[in-house]
Amino acid sequence: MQTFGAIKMSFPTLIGILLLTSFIITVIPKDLYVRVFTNNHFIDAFFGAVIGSVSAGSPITSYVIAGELSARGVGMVVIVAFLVTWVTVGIVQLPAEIVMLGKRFAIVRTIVGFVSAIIIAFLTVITLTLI
Amino acid sequence: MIKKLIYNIEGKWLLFIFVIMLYGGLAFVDFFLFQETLLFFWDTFLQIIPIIIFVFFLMFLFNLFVSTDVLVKHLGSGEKIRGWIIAIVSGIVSSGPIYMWFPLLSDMREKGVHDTFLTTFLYSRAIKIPLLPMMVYYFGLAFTIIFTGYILIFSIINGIVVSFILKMKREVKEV
Repeated sequence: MQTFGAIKMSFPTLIGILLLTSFIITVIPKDLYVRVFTNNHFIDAFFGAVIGSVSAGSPITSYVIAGELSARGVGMVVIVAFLVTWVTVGIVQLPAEIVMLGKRFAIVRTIVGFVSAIIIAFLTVITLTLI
Repeated sequence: MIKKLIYNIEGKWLLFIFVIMLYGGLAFVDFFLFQETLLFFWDTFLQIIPIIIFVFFLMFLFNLFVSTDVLVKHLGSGEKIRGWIIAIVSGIVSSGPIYMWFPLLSDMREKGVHDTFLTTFLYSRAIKIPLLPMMVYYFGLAFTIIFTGYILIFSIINGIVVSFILKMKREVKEV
């Protein structure tokens, strides 16, 4: 009975988020990902994290896009920030997270996750250069 | 009047209505893209049905067999090593979109699971074991190992930081 109540409560949100995700995936052109980057590591890492955060879809898609970005000469810092936020930070899913886990938790988690992604990006690249 | 109406609608329906309006606008501006988006939605929906069923089944079992006492014992405090391990491992093995897991996490929190472990679970989801070969293919083995290592470390850091900030906010509110 408790499970049925939870299903009833979460279903409109899940369908709403799925519709929103489908909207973002089909409406945002893929080449936009390449167009926004400059050559400044800090700004690019930030943009990489922003794009990963607002993007939606399967992680496989994020690997393919990241591979494409790498092939076009986009820096590794950007790629890591993008890959991490794609899975861990979900601006599109944020309304669902707010409804189900609370506003404060969702917002704090999103901000901390976003900042962490940028730190991970720099640490990964620094470690790679050191070894 | 509109403000009052919006205020009275629950959050879950507000989002749903907003998305329906977005689709209505898209149909008006570009009907072909609207059809394409709906088709994409339907395909994705069919793909995630098994995951939805799996998560809801898990919730059912969870409510049936896992008592609040057991949960609080292992995941109730943000300091136990076993709690970290459970949160990280379940985050790594969990599949499907992140939002599919929100109902179960909400349920677990109501039973006493600490925010630290919920955050750690959500962050460690960045490690996808079935996709690791793909990462190796695109970026190399060294990158994959370093990346995975940092995600593991930061999933714990995220858990601690988020829980610390939330605790601080609560204390400030109480004062």
